[in-house]
Amino acid sequence: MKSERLMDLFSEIDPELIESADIRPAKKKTVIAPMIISLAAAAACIAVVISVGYYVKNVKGKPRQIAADRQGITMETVASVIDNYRSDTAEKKVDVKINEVKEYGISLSFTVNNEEDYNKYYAYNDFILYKETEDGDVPVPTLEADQQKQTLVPEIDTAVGEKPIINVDIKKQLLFDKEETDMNIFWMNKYGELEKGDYYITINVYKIDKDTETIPYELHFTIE
Amino acid sequence: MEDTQIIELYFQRSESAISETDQKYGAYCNTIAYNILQNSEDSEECQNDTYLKLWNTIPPTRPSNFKAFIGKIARNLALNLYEKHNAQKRGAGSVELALDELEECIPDANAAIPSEDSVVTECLNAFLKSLPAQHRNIFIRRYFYMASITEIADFFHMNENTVRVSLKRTRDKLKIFFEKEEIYL
Repeated sequence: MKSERLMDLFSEIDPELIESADIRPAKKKTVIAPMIISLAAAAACIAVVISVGYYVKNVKGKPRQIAADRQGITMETVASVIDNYRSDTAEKKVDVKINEVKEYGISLSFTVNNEEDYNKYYAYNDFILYKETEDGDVPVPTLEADQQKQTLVPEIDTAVGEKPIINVDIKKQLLFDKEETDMNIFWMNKYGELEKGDYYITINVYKIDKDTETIPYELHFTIE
Repeated sequence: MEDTQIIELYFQRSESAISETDQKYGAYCNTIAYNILQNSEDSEECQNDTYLKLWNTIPPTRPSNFKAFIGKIARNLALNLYEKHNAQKRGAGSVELALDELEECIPDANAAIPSEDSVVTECLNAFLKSLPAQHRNIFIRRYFYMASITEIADFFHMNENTVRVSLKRTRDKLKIFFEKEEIYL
């Protein structure tokens, strides 16, 4: 098997790399200071705002890539299942992909592969947005839910170009009751656009009445 | 005792070389073996075989990085023992899981001629060195030390999901890197 060969060849990697991976990092004494620093930096530089839980019927059918191209954004359309279960046995009930990426927001699409699984899975706003940096991933800060609701509503019309149906309760579960369900996540250019770079969004899909059955996904996009 | 002093004991054919090695690197060696074999007796056997191999290898070899040298020997012996025990059965052990994950790094080119070991290793080293330190160390702990997700998360004070995400991304990147460098396995 090819993977066995690759695993064997790991024995031949540079000894310094092997040794450096065996150095246990010191536990961080506090998480408050780095948070303040990162929040301050974010406020000064980008001040990204995110809001989720909006269900937009009219996203479907839009020319998805055109908007991205126009704004110099590339995207990967297929999400990856990031759990560590065996890939050959994993039941992939729901696919997630990126519909559209703009500086101020992203549209995700959840597809339930089999009709018998309609009304069995849901997602909500437990996503995390990361920016990839030399020092690892840096979470992009978000505003409190109430602030998002107040500030986002007047901006959405301009941002999307079409008036969406807004689910004001962003904590509400977004039930996948049909083949395809869209979710829009916005961060507002009013507070700053995302800087150039690679970003990752992680989001979970849950099974109704079965909190332990969670399918984590990660989606990647680049702002150039 | 310093590594150079322990190595010198091997060169002098002093049996205290083994006890000094055991004292300094016994737990390290056992952890690597246990991560692969998941069995205390087998890990101990592997640990003893590692000392024997060291005894037979030094001299003439004078390792520049003694710790990594021991780690490589322990890992290879443990993988051999694992293969011997599991020749007839394929289960869902830690090695099988890691192998399944590594499948994701294999470029899709069945017809291509496999690259030589030295070329793949060189490419692997270049790839690992290009990674941010944190992602690199997580990757090496998983596929060299064969540590579980939980152990890695604990080791680096991270949550398990972050470790999974990091591993997944690095596997994807490695596949792209191999394809770009035209490396075939």
